[in-house]
Amino acid sequence: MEMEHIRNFCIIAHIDHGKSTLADRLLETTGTVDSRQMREQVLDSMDLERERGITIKAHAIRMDYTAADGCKYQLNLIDTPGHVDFNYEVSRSLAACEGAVLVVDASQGVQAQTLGNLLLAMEHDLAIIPVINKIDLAASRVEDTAAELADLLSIERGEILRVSAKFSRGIAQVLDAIVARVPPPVGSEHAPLRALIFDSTFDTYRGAVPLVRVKDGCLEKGMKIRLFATGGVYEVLEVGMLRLRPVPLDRLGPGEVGYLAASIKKLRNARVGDTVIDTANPAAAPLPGYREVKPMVFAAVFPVDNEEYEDLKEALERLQLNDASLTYEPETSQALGFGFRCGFLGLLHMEIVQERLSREHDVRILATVPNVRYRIFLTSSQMLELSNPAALPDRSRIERIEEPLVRLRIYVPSEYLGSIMELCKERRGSYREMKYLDQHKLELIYDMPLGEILFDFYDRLKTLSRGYASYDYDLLDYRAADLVRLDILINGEPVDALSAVIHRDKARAWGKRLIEKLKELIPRQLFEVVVQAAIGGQVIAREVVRPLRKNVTAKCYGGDITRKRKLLERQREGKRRMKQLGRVEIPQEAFLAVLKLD
Amino acid sequence: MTSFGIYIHVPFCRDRKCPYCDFYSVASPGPGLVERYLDVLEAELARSVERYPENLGVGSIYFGGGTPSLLEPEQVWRVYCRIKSLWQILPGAEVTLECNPEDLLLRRAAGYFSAGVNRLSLGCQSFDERQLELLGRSHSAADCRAAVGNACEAGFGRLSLDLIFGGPQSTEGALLEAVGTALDLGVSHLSLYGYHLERTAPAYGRAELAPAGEELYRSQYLAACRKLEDSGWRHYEISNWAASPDEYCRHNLAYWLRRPCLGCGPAAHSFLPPDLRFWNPEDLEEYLKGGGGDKLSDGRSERLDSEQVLCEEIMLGLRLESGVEPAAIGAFLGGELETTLQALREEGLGAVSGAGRFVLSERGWLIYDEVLGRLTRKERPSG
Ligand SMILES: Nc1nc2c(ncn2[C@@H]2O[C@H](COP(=O)(O)OP(=O)(O)O)[C@@H](O)[C@H]2O)c(=O)[nH]1
Ligand code: SF4
Repeated sequence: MEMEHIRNFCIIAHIDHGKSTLADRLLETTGTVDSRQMREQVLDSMDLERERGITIKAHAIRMDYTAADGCKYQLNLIDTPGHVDFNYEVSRSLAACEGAVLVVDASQGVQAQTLGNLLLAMEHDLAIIPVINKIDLAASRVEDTAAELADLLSIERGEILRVSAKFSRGIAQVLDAIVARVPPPVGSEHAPLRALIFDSTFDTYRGAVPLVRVKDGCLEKGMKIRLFATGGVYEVLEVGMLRLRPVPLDRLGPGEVGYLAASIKKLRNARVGDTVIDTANPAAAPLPGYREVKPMVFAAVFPVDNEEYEDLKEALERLQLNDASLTYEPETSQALGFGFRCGFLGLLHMEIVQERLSREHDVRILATVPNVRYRIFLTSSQMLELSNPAALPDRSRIERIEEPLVRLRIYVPSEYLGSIMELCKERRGSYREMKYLDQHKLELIYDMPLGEILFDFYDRLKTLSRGYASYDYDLLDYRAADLVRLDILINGEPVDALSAVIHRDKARAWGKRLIEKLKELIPRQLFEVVVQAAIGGQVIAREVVRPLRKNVTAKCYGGDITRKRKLLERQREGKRRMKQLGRVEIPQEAFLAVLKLD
Repeated sequence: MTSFGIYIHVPFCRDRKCPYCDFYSVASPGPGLVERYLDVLEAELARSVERYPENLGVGSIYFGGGTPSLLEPEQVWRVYCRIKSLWQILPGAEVTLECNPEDLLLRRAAGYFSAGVNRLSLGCQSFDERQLELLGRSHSAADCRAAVGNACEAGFGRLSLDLIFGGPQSTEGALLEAVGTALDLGVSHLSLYGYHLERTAPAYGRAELAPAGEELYRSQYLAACRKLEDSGWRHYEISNWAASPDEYCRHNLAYWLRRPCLGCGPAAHSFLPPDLRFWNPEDLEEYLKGGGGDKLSDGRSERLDSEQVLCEEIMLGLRLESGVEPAAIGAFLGGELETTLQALREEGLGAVSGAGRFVLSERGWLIYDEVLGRLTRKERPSG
């Protein structure tokens, strides 16, 4: 197809503002999918994603549309993940587009992700089509939202579309605006091939299947290609476009979006952001913007049952096949046995992986509290990257510790400003600036240690703002901080899985609260359990779980031994789920106690 | 196997159920219902010959409940005769009947005695009027004394009393007094059960009926243990004491020692060593409808695997003064056996006896469930 009849666009929105619903309507109106198929939200195919209403992994779909001018257009909708954990992936999807439909819920107005993604889209010079959704809602504030958007984008209110995705109102106008306002792609058919991988899917038979946007040249079946960053060379077995299912084509020309299959075994070999080139006519330089994604959040994952170690290992291997950003390496804990320290892009990513492990792979896991990766500068002038707090070297060997710092943007109605600033201060944030987005809403900018966001920051933010505040962050840098290791000792023995690296000023209070919580969670048992918190080897707080004093010996009615044995079996199963440290039995929840501190 | 025990479950209670009881029984049955029950019971006994063949001897019979003393002596006699027509009742067989004290008038006691019963277990629960009231019992302390007197007069040489400790607003003094009274009355066997409310019990959640605190519960149990020990009694099972080994309840011992038992009547459980357990429906109507039919149908049976058998041996053995073979525990604890037993000994919870068996102490019995769970913890794979 001629480039001037191609439009590549994405939809950006805050969670729940209606991105998926609008996408469904577009597919329906263009006849790409019929209404029966529509019953499923077609773009989100993982259950987990649908439940959370988050499109985690980008996909792409091609629509044919005859516009008001009578011409046929090829519209490629590229879906973008909507969460800060996947910012890099978002940026690659945006790089595959020329335009973005910005969806804002008329009852909610502009939110953090709206802005975060909008900024990214603007950085990529995308044409923005502002759409106010849910105009059917009684609680909608269409005009206020329009004013907010007009301000934000410096445009006239008249350029803003008003739709109800749910009730299919204004959908054709959205399609026409895409044709009219999104510029056609530019590129040269005769230049050497350069195609951007903006996403990859994984398929057991075909391996990694990259989704690409051809920038220059043509991608054809039978071609020998090289992936620029990883260097892998493959023969293209198939190219095609995506409808509801893949549709093979002979070639993808400049400006087009589609997939390629080339027996690429692992997802890691087809990295998002990489450039596909033709070995016969290699382009000299890759497309800009490739970056190796690095995990930011770490947690150790152990099988609940030690016997399931192999199952866990296999599950992680399989997960990594279609989640290239997940990393893991073996870790042994005295308390929890053999497991893996996993690296995640962020907290959401961590939750998703943990849930997929148990739901899709049926392994029961116990995950430690997440932490960031520290840089430890030793007196020997070596530098150590550390993602396991228990492995922190002795203080005497450490010159300084650096922790990752992020630029945090919080969007919050002005009435909650005070308490949110309080929270940020508590979390060691340094105030940078504040901007009025409109009369009621502020953008607050802080620099904050990432580690401080890992513990229930999101929940606190939501609570303090009655759900109205939202946030977004980018990694800034590493910065030195007065960090210490807090150890938890049970009957005198340190429990490695409970160690945490924490700022000195907070360590004491934190340790105290943690052992109080542990005292609640550790059941009374045969022997006394002493729980202590220690900083740098010095005990700062202590709690005791008194030994159990009584069980009830009731009458055994009617020779019913079965009932007693079944009770015992249930109890044994419970005990089996506990971890034994020396004489002490510790329930799984205890290892998550840190997460639940408030 | 050469002999077995028979348990007869009598699923009826007097006009109103005790507030701490969540056990299945039917209150105020009419005479017709009791007769229907007895018919089915007889049929059930007759059919049981299939699994408990005629050449076996009956070593014990136990009428439990519910309230077996709601049965007229003639009715007990009827059941006894039926059993006798099916199997040989061994000489010296123990025939026990559980009895509410207020039921035991002299003529009734004599009736039971003539019906073949040679041991009575009296559900006294307490000798403290206030305590009896809180427990919702319909008898008085005087009824208990009279019942013992009548039983003796009727010829019963073997008498057991049930007492409850740790009950609502109970005291150590009252419990010791009750034990003292039992000793003075000359009974030869005592059962002490800890007061406890299941969520489903009527008294659950009522403050004035709440159990004693754990320290009081402990001190009452341990004080009773001391008193009975001082009197030369044997604490042969976690909640049972006897004046001498001859007075041990042989029927209940059969449960703890995993000997064959036949249970008839609703909710009664049967056991055929080494691994078959089966039971009747709890519901009286359902039981009557079944007409004493095949018990192994309807999923009311289980075949134990070897781990379950071992679990039971430990579970039951630890209740007894004879304890268990440490090797049995070793099957679960593996390499941790020695250190675990050692730790228990250090805490005074149990020790290996002269006979080389691991026996819980009275302190250990107080937290029997926890110890048991710990000792049968699944072995963890090494490494
Ligand atoms: N009333 C109303 N509800 C809508 C509209 N569009 C979407 N929704 C609802 O808003 C919720 C979130 O929509 P969804 O498309 O899943 O949002 P996403 O998270 O941005 O993909 C769903 O319950 C939709 O049914 C609309 O135009 N009007
Ligand atoms: S405790 Fe005994 S007498 Fe009271 S209701 Fe329960 S079974 Fe019947």
